[in-house]
This record gives sequence, C-alpha cells and structure tokens, in this order.
Amino acid sequence: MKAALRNNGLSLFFGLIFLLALLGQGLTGHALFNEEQLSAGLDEISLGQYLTSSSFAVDVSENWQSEYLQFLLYITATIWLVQRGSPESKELHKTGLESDKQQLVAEYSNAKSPAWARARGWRLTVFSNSLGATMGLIFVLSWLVQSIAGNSAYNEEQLSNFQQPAAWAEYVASAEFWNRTLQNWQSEFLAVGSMVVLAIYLRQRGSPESKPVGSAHDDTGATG
Amino acid sequence: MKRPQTGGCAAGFRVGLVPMLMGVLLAAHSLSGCSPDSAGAAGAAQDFRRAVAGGDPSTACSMLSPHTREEAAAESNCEDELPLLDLPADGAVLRTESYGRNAMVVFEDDTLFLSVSGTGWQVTGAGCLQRGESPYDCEVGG
Repeated sequence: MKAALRNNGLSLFFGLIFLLALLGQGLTGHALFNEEQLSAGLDEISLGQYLTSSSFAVDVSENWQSEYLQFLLYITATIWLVQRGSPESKELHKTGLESDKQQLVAEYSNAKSPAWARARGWRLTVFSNSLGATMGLIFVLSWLVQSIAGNSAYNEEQLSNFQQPAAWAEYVASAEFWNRTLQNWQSEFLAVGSMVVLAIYLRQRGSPESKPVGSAHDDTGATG
Repeated sequence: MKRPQTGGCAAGFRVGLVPMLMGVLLAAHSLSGCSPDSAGAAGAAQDFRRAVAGGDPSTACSMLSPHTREEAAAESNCEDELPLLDLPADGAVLRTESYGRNAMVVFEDDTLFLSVSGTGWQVTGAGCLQRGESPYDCEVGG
C-alpha cells in the first residue's frame, strides 16, 4: 500500500488537487451564481442544480479544452521543432519521427515493449500516435461541450435580459465564444513558451523538467 | 503498404468515435440545461394571458416574479396597474425557447419572458416587442 502510494505519487497528487480545485470551483461558482440570481430578483438554486447547469459546464469545459490543446500542440510540435538549450526539446539532430531502432518498435522492440509496438501494421500506427490522438480527441470533445453548454448559458443570460437567444452556429461565430476560447489559449501558449525558454537558463534541482543544475545553457534535451 | 493499414485504422476509429461523440453530446445537452420544461413555460404564459383577458388581475399579478410585480406596482399596486396596460390577450403560441432557468414564449402579437421559481414558472416580462438587436420592449418588466 505504502509502495503503491509512493510509486503513483505524482498522478495521485494531481488527481487529488484536481478534485479539490473542481470542488472549490463548484462551491464558489454556486455562490457567485446565486449572488447574481438574487440581484436579478430571482430564486437561488441548489448546489446540485448548479453543478448540472450550463454555466458550470461551460466554465469547466473551456479550461479543459485549452489544457488538452496545449498538450496536443506540445506533443506534436516537439516532434519537428527544437529549442537549443531547452530540456523540453529533444536534441537538435533528432527532429522528425525518428527511426524504428530509436523508437524500439517492430523488429527493434524488446520483451517488455507493449504488444502493439512489436508488430508492424495498423496497431503500430495507432499506438505510435495514441498519445497525441487521445489528447486531440479530448480537446475536440471538450471544445464541443464548451460550445453547446456555452450556447445554452449565453442564451439563458440573453433571455434573462429580454434578448433574442442565438442558434449554435451563431454562437460559435460570436465574440463571446471566441473570447472565452482565446483568453484560455493565450495563457496556455504563454506558459508553455515560458517553460521552453526559461528552462534554458534556469534550473530546478531534482526535477526531470529541468536540466541538471550544472548543465551548460546550450545543452539540449538533457533532463535531471 | 501503409495506406490500407491507415485506412483500416481510421475505419475502426470511427466506429468507436460515433458512440463516444453521441455520449458527449447527450451529456452536453443535459448539462446545457436546455428546455427544463418548455411546455410548462408555454402553459404558464397562456395562463397569464387568460387571467389578463378574463379580467382577473389578481391572478395575473400572482404569476409575475416578485421583481416584476414590484415594477408593475410602481405607481399604486399591481392589481390596479395591470388592467391599464396594453397587454395582448389573444393569439396562439408560435414557439417557446427555454434555456436553463429562463424561457421566452412567442405569441402572434407579443412575447412573454419567464423564469423558473421554486413553485414553477413566473412571468418576468409581458407584452414584449422585439426591437432588432436591442432588448425587447416590455409593457411589464424588462
């Protein structure tokens, strides 16, 4: 049990703080929603009603889609793009999909390689792109949920202000939808770009996201 | 050699994607709060109009949201004020749109806006006419 906790500490830690943050978002979002209801002379709603509302769904999904887009871009862009000196980049001469030998697939696989990495065929193609594809799929679905829930939340507000609701196609072309989307995207892109560049010159001892403290600034792809 | 393999992959991928997409869309639809009770909103709007047409301002006023009732009673009280307003009372429901806790019921001559309260739908705006992109102009509320 103790060993299991230690061996999975990173995923457990992030899983736990994710749930706590989501709970906090739900509680504070509920309080804020009810403040707005009262100021409009309307009834307060229960926490359960808020957690199943379009307002909560759009607030959650708009952040999810941007996070998964960030990882999708990072996973795929780093195949071909490199950054001299960054531990987030692979070595400068390794751009591209790399050889089967480097990737330990098919005849270069070993006894511990996953089954779908051992034989050529569609399974190898799928497995070779499974991380990016999954991130991409979650991104697309989250963005779709954002558009549907956002359309509903927007229309609910439109109706409460005695204004005409918008169809989904109108909503996804609206400033409201793109403002919600782009305000999330810009922060993700800034964070990733900062990490790539700052990690060239700065160190965090013991972190695999950093180079070893004594590494030269132009060492690329080293982690420690 | 790789082309048919990739095609097979894509075909297999689509099989799983369709139910997954449907699941997400259904979840999104349920979370979107669409139509909590469109028929209920239309019914409440028709009841309000019947009360107005039947000369029963007391019932009509009781169907207004507290906020709207206060506004309607700005001069004296709601029961005295409501009959003085030019509220259309005839005409069929053309369509109802409801999102989350709000709805609009469009009649031939005007539109009513409603909001969910603890006991059902309450009218927040009545006798409303569209003014382009601007908010509707309402005889009551708005």
